[in-house]
Parts: sequence; C-alpha cells; structure tokens
Amino acid sequence: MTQYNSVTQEIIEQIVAAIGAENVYTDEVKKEPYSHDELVGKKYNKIPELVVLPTTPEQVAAVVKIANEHTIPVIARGAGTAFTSASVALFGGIVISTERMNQILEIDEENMFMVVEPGATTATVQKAANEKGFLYAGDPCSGDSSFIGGNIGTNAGGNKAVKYGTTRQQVAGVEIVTAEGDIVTLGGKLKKDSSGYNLFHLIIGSEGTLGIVTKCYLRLVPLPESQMDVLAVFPSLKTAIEVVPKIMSAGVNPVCVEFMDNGSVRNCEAYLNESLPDSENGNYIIVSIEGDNEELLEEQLGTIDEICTENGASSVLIADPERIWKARKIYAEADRAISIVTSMEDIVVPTTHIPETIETIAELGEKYGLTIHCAGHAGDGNIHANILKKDLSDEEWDEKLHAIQEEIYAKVYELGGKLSGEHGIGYKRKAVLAQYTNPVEIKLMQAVKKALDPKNILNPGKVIDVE
Amino acid sequence: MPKIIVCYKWVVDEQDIRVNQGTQELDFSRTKKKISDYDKNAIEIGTQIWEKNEGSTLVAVSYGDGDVKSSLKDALSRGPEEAFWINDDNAAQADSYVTANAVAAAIKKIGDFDMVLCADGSSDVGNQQFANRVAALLDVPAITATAELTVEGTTITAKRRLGDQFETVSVAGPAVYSVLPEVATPRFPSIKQLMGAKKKPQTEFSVADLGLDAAQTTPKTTVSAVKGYTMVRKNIVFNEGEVADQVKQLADALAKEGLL
Repeated sequence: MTQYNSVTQEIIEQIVAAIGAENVYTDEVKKEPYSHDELVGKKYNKIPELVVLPTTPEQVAAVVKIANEHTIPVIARGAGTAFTSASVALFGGIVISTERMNQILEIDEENMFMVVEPGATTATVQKAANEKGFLYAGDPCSGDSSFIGGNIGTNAGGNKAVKYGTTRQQVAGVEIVTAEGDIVTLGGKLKKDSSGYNLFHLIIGSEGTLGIVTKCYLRLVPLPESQMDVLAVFPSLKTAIEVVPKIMSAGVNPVCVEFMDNGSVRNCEAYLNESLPDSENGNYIIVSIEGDNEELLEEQLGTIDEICTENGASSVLIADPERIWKARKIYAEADRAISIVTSMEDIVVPTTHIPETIETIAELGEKYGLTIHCAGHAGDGNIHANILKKDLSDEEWDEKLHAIQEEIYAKVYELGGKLSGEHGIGYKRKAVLAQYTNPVEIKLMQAVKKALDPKNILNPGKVIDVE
Repeated sequence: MPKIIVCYKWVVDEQDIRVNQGTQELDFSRTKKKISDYDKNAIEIGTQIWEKNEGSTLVAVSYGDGDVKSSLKDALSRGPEEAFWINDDNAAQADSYVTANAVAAAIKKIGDFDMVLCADGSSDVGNQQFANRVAALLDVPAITATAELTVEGTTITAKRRLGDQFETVSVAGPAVYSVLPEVATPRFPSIKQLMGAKKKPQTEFSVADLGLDAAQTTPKTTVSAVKGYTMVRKNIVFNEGEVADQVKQLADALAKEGLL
C-alpha cells in the first residue's frame, strides 16, 4: 500500500482557502456520519481526517490537486447507501461529499438527455424527468436516498434493469475530476460514439477509484402511458423461482421480475405493520409491465397469469404499486430491524441458474444455522441474500459467515456467475474478487488504475489492490 | 341478506400534481386518476360482507364526468357485481351538495338497499360531508367514522372511532356508513378478476335520467382558488457551545414548540 501523508493543519488551511471554510468539516462530530456506509462493523468504519463538501467541479479539482500534491487519499462519497464500505476513508484522507452538488442542470427535451450534478438523488432525477414526460430508467431500491453519482460509481441496477439495463445503459457521459485535479468531459449527449476508447464506461462502476464524477449526462426515454405490477404468490420458493425463466422467454418483455422469499415477505409485513397478501406461506414474484397500449398490456397480463398458474401460483394479483414496491424496497431495512449486523450478498448468475443458486443458499443457511432472507432481481439473475447475524457472538458470526460465503461464492462461480450484480466491490469484497477473478483480468484492472491514478490517491484499497 | 351499495370517487392521483414554485398554481397536466384511496377501503369492506353473506348483493356507484368510465374496470375487479355511474359534464365544479344530490338520486333509481358504504372523506378534497348529505336525502341514519363493520343475520354492528374511544352501535334498517381506512385493507384483485370485470354490467345515468333540476345541480359553494403553499421554516441552528449544550438547546426548543 502506498505511504500516505496525513492531513495537516497547513493542508486544511490550503483547502479552506481554496473552497471556503463553510465547505470543510474538521469537527469529529460532523465527520462521524461520513465514517461508514450501510455496512456495519468496526473494520469497515473510520472517521475521515477531513470532510469537504464542494459546490462546484472546480472546488473538487482544487481539493484533489492539493491531495495529489501531498499524496493524501481522496474518497468520493454519495449518500453512503452502499453495503461495501466503498466510500469510507479506511486508509485515512479526505472524504469529498457530493451532497451540495445536487442540481438538475438541464433537461434537453429535443435530444432526450438530462444533465445533473452527482449529488442529486435518483428519485429527484426520476421526478424531474417524469415532469417533462420522460423516464430516467435507472431505479435502484435505494433511489429515494442514493445519489446519481453513487449509482454511476457502482453501476447500480435496480427495478427496471431487465428492460432498460443498469445505470451503465442510462449514462451517455460524465464530467470527472482526474487524480491530478484536471476536469474533463468523457462522452456527452451522443447516441453513438466511436471516437477512440470509451473512457466514460471505464468510470461507470469504478467506485471512485479512477476519477470523481462531477457531472452526469443521462439518457431519457419517453414515459410509458401505464405500468402494471403483477404479484404472483407461490407456496414454495422453488416453484416461484422456476417460473422466472418461463416468463422471460414468453415474449412479455417485462420491466422487471423481482422475487421475495417468504422470510422477507413476513419480515417486511411486520416492519411495515401492513398486511400483505398470503404472507403466511407465500413467496412472491413481482412482474412489472408497461406500455401505451392497454389491450396489449392486458394480453401480457393474461400470458403471465397463465404461466404462473400453470406453474403452481396460488394467486396471481394486480398489485397496488405503492404497497408492493414499498415492501420490496424496504427489504434490507426491515432485516436491519431484527439484526443490526447483516451481510448483504449481491451475487449474479445466468438467469437459468437462479433456482439452483437459491436452493444452494437455502441449504447452506440450514447447514450453518443462519437466517438468510433472499430477494432481488430474478429477471436479471441478481440475488440479494441477506445473511443475518442476529444474536450470534462476533466470533461465531465471523466464522460462520466466512464459511458460508466461501461455499456460496464457489457455487456462484461454478455456475458462471459473479460476486456483485449492482452493489459493487468496495472494501468488503476486494479479497474475494481477487480470489475468484482471472489474474490476467486483475492485472489489466491494475494497469488501468495505475494509468489513471499514478499515486493511488483515489479511494485506495477499494475494488483491487495495485501493489 | 344485505343489499349493499358502495360509493366511490374517481380522483386525481395527488402524487402527480405539480406546484408551480413561482405562482403556487397547481399543474394537473400530467396527472392520472385513481379510485380515491379511502374509497378502496369502503369497496373492500362491502366486498367482504357480500362474500360472507350468501344472497347479498353488491353494486358500485360513482359520480363524475365522462372520465369516470375509465374507473369501472378497476372498481368492478374489486368485487362489485354491477356498476352505476352518473355522467355529468359539470362534475368538476360540483360540491358535496351536488354530488350527494346526484348519488342519492341514483341510489333511489337503483332500488332498495340495506347499506350504503363510502369513505369518511375523499382523498382529493376531503370535505367529509357526502355520507351525511346522502343519508339525509335518503332519510336514513348516517353512521360515520366506522372502524369495524359486521353483519350477523339481520343485525348490522358498527364500531365507531371517537378520538381515542370506540362507540359500538347496532343498526336496524337501511343506513349510510362512512368508513375509516382501518375498516378493511383493500385487496389486490386477481388478473382473472380484472379480466372478468369487463364482462360485468355497467349502467350510465345522465343528470336528466335522474330527474335532477337546476337547483339540485347548482353548487352551493364555488372554489375560487386552489394553490400550493410554501413551508416557511425557522432555520434555527444550535451550534453554540459543546454538543451536549446544543442537544439540550434543541430539546428545549422542541419542547417549547410543543413537539416533545
């Protein structure tokens, strides 16, 4: 690991002079909220030496220049909703929070793009697009609080990814501050671009290790007239999951196919204190379809009903979107209410292997005596398995968690899957990524990192190690 | 076995309303419509009673402009066997007086009833006058703020929420019941119920069909403006002294405002 310098009083004064005292936190109490994300555990938390809250790209650049000159880590931070300790200053340094860069800068209705600052929440971006009759199709479950810059950092997926793809497919360009403090725009309001290497795609999903996003160019699509959400309830998780590939291949073109196992359903119901259909034994498959033609939508509803009923659904319902999505989106928070410490797995496998993967996870949960609540984006093969510590001792938890993760990951890679579908690697999964990834691929990643961040100051110790 | 009529209102989805930050005018240009949230509770309790009591009947009634037709499939998928709707081009200007006149006239035309169900208020204007006015026009009791509603044979029992207390009443004969959200959680209709809803009978009434005269269809109140409001925050920052002092100052200030 690079030898980093501490943030001295002199450096603080330089930063204050560059961006103003009102944009700098030195007080421990004020810095504390920036010491963690949603991942709980002492080894994942650390109060940064300094927190800065710039309001312009130029201010970000000024801070990065000073940090680069003194070899001090800089950690770009969005809303802190990650599960991987991605935006925590574990190796010291300066957290650059984008929370004050939260404006919608432009909605270009003719070209169907919008330009926003990285600190705008996903929900704000969606709402601004909707108000002009467009859809911004990035839709992570954390969208009410997560920032668009963070979505780009992790290549967030979410609830429309089956039809529209992940954040990567929604982004047409980014303005970044480089490790040396230069400001550059990569990509832009273009539908196509073959002009050299596509560098903005390198930034997407790089978790702040290759550049700090200061402006986002986002694609828009026309807002569909209507969306309908179907809730199919199955008595067993196995039959629920087995229906997913059948729906996917039936020509329905869903926006999403989500699932919740019965443990998740019951826990969300208890957390929300709202009754959910057939919650006693039901495992949920949620299918959303959208379009402008009501007859066509009804035809698709009929197809979904037929497939689900034939495959053992006890009921196939038209869901109240507000109620069902509240339950689906609150899944992780509801788990947190019964177990402060959890390990949220984010594995992704080819969709045909979802049933086998889910079955393996359930068996392993029983084998290790761990409660695991599974939910996620069945339509794109992305399974969130939330492993709950509950009242286990720290030692027991560490031992069991490590053992079960080893077995889960081995199975996932055997099936052609990967560690993370949308949450990213951060610090939590770095070692496992190195363990399961082809060394040549890791070498290529290291080469990219070294080229773009020669002094390794951008969010060091995350995603990969470079030395 | 009870003959049940459930009333609902087709309203703008409040989530789609935008407020012009300059003029505070409301922009409805991208709004969609829905069955008023609280009326879904009324439909649900009506459906539950209908399902439990063989031989009972359940129909839905709504009043509005031509757009109400779009609501019928949703309403019928939730249980009612038949829908009646009153098509009035001037419904956008209607107040509780006009709405109640129209719905009461439609109910008289539909025929005998034991229970008229509706929400305590609508999710758009929330006047909470409808049930009482309809009951008066039909010359039956109004049972408001109903939190629980049960039918045993010919006995109808309503548990009314009165602040933090309940009043239980038994009702003999026809009555209008306005229900609170806790009376029943709306179901998710099945796809088959949604498809089946298209085949259920629908009857349209015009204002003329109901024999309403000009006085009965002229609102008693006129809405002169509906505007958004801006939250004026006090923006008090407690940053003097140690953290413990700041917390105490905050707690004191909240207590002074009556919030603690």
